[in-house]
Amino acid sequence: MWKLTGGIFIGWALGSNDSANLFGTGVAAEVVKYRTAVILISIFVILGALVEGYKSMDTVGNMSQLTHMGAFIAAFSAGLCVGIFSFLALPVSASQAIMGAVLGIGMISGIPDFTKLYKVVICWVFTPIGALLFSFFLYSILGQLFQKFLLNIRLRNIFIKIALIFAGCYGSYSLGANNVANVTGVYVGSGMLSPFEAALIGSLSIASGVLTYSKKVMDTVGKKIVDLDGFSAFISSLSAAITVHLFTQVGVPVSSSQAVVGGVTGIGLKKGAKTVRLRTLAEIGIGWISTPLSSGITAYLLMRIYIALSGSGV
Amino acid sequence: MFFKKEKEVIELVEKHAEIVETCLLTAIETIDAYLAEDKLKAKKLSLETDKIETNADLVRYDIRNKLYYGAFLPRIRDDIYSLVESIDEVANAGEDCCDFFLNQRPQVPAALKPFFLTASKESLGIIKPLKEALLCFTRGECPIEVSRQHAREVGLKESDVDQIEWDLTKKIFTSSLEFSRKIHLKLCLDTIALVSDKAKDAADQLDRVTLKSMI
Repeated sequence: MWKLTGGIFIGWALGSNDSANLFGTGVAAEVVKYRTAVILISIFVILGALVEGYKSMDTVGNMSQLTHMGAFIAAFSAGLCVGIFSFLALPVSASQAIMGAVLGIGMISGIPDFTKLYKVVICWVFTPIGALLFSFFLYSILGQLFQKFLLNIRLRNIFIKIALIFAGCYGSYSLGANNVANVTGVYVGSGMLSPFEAALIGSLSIASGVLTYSKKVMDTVGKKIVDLDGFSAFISSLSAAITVHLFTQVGVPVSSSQAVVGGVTGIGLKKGAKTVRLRTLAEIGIGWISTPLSSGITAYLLMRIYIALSGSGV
Repeated sequence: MFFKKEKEVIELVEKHAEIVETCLLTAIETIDAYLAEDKLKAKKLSLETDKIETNADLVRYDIRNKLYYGAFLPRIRDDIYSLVESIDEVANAGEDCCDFFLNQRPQVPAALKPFFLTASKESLGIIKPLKEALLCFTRGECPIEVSRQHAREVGLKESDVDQIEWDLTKKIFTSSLEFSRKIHLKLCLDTIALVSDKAKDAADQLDRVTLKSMI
């Protein structure tokens, strides 16, 4: 069972980092208290993981055939990269980290199944682009309705508050459904856990990160996003949630952070304003390569060391 | 009940505007009574204006408390309070007019009295379109563009007051009055005209809030 600690670690890191994308705006805008937000996130992450989490498990688990030890090293390496990147304040995606780690270990036992990787990489690229398109069009459509039917400032304010909570809860559900595979998908692939057990343990570990170590990131990210007006913040969060949920149906874990950046960029394009720095967009592009590469190399090296010391297989 | 604070704030903002309107209408009556040489009535009305203005302040404090105890999103909260403050300054300027007349007792020549009265009614009467613009925004009974149009009308009315001020200034300085009296009357006129300037500032703030609430 100790081999699950690698997954629990990455789940904890994911929960503490990504919760800011979901409810950061709501907390910074004082729509919900931090304590309420983390409880809501935890509930909806667990719900999303249990209801739809199984959909992405196969993609992560079947990328390479892993032993229990291989699964542990993959999860641990991914968690380590996420932790170090976060500590260095560099953008990082748990989805990309775990994929890199699985492929890194797969390199030892032979050539991994790269055909599946193409689908995954296409989904990564289309995550910010999809969120951008959603926010661009949702802003136009919902914006017109908002402008036409909500003339009263009080009603507008109430709508925004409820909408931000809704987008936060939906985003949490999507995160649980999509990203739980990053946490425990490798254990399903190695036959250590059933999809339901993996969803439960994975979502609980994400929730532990949300509940114990998310305040700082939520304050920072939330205040950055809340510089947008309430309606724009709602649209960007909703677009990110829809995009992540959509990729769950395809069975590919994607980055919720990159979806949020795409959502915010779409608002900027619609309004003709600069909402995201070019550097942030460039960092996403670099992250598509640097994150899986780092976790892949780490996992490869750790696995090599393990094999050398124990004399066992992958 | 959810969102009760927002409802209370809007009710208080509307109440505040009603009080400011009453304050300025009482101030017009004060000036009217002063110019009609009814100093006793003017004094009574001036005290009444002071009292009403104090009430406006109390409502403003109440709005501030409710806003900063969590009503509305932070982004719009400061804007709403700035709007209330700017409307309150209109009431303060109206009160200053009464104080000027009752405290400094300017001697207005009979020939100029109708012009001073017109200037007062126009400048202090600007509260009506300002209140209309505000209610249009808070009650949401008209499209945002209409609300913004009302706010712009306050600016146009302020231009009318400027014209009246210009004409009356000319009349004062081309009269045969002593220079010191001319200066005193000009100061009096400036105090009256300041009310419409403050109203224009409030209308600008209202326009800004309206614009920020647009998508």
